[in-house]
Amino acid sequence: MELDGLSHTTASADSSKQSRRHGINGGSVVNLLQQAGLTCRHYWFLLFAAVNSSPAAATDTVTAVIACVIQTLQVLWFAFSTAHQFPWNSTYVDFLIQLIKVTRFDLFIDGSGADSTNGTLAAVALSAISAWILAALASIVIYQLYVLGTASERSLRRSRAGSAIAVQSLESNTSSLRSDGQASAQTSRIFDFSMRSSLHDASRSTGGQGGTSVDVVHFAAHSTTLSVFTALLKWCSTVLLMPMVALLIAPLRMFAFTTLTSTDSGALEYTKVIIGLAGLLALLPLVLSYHTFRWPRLLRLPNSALSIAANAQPSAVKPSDVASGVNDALAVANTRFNLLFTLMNASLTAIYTLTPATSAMTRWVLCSLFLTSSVIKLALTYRYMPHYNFSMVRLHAATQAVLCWAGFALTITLMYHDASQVAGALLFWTGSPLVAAVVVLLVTQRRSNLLQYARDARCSKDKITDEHVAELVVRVMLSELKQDELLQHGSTDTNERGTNCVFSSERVFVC
Amino acid sequence: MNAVRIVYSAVNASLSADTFCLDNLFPTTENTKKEADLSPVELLQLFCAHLPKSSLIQCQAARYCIELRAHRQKIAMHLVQAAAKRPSLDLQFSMFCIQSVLDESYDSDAQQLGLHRYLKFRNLNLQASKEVVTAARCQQRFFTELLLPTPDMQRMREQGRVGFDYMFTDARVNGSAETPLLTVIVTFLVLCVALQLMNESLSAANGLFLQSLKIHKNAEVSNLPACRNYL
Repeated sequence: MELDGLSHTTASADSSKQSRRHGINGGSVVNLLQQAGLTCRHYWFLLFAAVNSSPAAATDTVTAVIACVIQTLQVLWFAFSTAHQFPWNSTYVDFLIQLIKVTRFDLFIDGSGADSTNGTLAAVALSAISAWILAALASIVIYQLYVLGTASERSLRRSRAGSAIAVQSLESNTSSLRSDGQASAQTSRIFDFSMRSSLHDASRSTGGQGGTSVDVVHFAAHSTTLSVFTALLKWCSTVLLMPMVALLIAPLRMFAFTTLTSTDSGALEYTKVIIGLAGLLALLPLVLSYHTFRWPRLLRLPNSALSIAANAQPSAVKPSDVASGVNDALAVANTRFNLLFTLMNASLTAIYTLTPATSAMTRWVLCSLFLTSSVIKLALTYRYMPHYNFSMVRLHAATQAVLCWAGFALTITLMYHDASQVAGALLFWTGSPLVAAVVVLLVTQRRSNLLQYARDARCSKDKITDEHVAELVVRVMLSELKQDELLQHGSTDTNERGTNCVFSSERVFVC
Repeated sequence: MNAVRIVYSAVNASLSADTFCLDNLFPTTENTKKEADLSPVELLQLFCAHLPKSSLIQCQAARYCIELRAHRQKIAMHLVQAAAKRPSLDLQFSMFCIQSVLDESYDSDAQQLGLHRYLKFRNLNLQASKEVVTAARCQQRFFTELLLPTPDMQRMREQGRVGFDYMFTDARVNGSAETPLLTVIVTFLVLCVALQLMNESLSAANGLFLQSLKIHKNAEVSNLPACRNYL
């Protein structure tokens, strides 16, 4: 409501207003396209707002840990790939390779060594169909959201039908003034969409549940289609991403691998390529959007009216009613790093799938790519700690460290270039736990340093110039405050009960 | 041996206090710690001042203000400042969600405090004032034209029609020819006709009833001597 009084508008809002004006007056193609783009963006945002609000989007800690381990094993395949004949000592790494193959089930289908194929039609088609089912579900959910919006509009009209003629004419004149380009309450919104305004008006006039967000939250809580879509998208974006990308991209090997022999005809090969690319086209935008558009579910503001009526302090924070990403172990504060990690994993999968290991140089290039990506991921995880849940930050940092160490061990193995040499394998097995422990220690220490900085921020001469680090400092400080408050509440409870019970780990280590 | 040396150096590095301060951003000032403690909101404001061009920090500030139950004006302010700095797509989505949260909160408050009626009244009042001003301008133009030595009839007709539309129709908005006034007139005529028909039918029924009553009475009167004789 206060936003209505603010005179500022964004470039997008300006352009939307301009485009609406031009659409009315001139209706040029560019402006119509702009308007269509804004509408698409609105519904795309609405879809992912619903996805984030769905209960299926939340991941508990155990599932998140399992997902993290599976993803780590999947990435670890790049260091131990048998298709590229890295000269590891088989005695030490065979069982690990077998374990990794379980998580990369595409290797059983397309082959993991000399038996590599261009992908079987059934596997490619199945993956593509899964991707298109996901896209179809997204379309259905968008349509449902559209129907939800029009239903609200209809209720608005129904409520208006009972009002007097004079009121009707004046209300219609409001829209006439809006079309005249005059500043109205709705047009000064940051995201100014006609659908949003109509929904907002509808909820106001009907005295309904509130704004669009309430409609979306209510829809998200009750829609089965959305729950299925969210669950599928979550798994396709995490543990199933790399196998699916590998299966869909495998037909493209026919252009890269000249030595591969295939029993399929040329037409069938091209059919597989087209099906695979179509599947990728459906899958990748959804996956990337899922990683980009993350928002902590159940983040709500309390009603000030109630707190004023109860004479309560509105800014008082109670840990019990602080809603944040803590109920979702995979919730991230900054989606950019998550997006980057996903892109890196998908790119590595594509490169490893399409690159034949014909020479030592290729192996060195692949090794350097894997090592570089692992180091970048570790550095970003250490510096920016993207997850809300600090235990997950520790776990991710440890797994990235293991991957880095695997890259280092692979370098040593390639240097020896002897399958009977055990140095690389031994280095990996002995060094990995140690490196993981060291990185966990470093991450914990960094968190302490950030807390110290947060306490001394006013006196400190060094100004933070990195916006992500600034956000991290605030996040760490908030999590610490919440933890302290939880401890205090826990101690109050225990004192009241007169027992000396220890706080449950779930309450203490919530952040 | 190399591996052992590397592992040893890593462990050694992790256990030495100096290497923990990897970036010199975080100096320790133990003596001024107590005086310098900031609340999260103050810290956010400090960072917003340090990073005036960052839309991310403004957006995150709005997000943390929601968590901290800060005043909604402050959240809206951060939101607007974030929007002013050309945010990227992920931040636009965050802003979309923050604005939804704000809208929801304001709506529920307005519903509880009965503000919707007032806002609607204020809105309608403003619209009515604007319509009156427009109609007055039309009227002024009409009479200005009329006072001219050779008034343009076409222009006067247009001015008059605009004023009429403003006062009685919404055809200008909807683009339809149907007007509320016309609807009222048609409804009135239909009602009149219906009433007339009803009146006529009632009077006809009344006449028939009276006639039948008269016949009956006559019959009774004519039979009266016979009855008397019988008695």
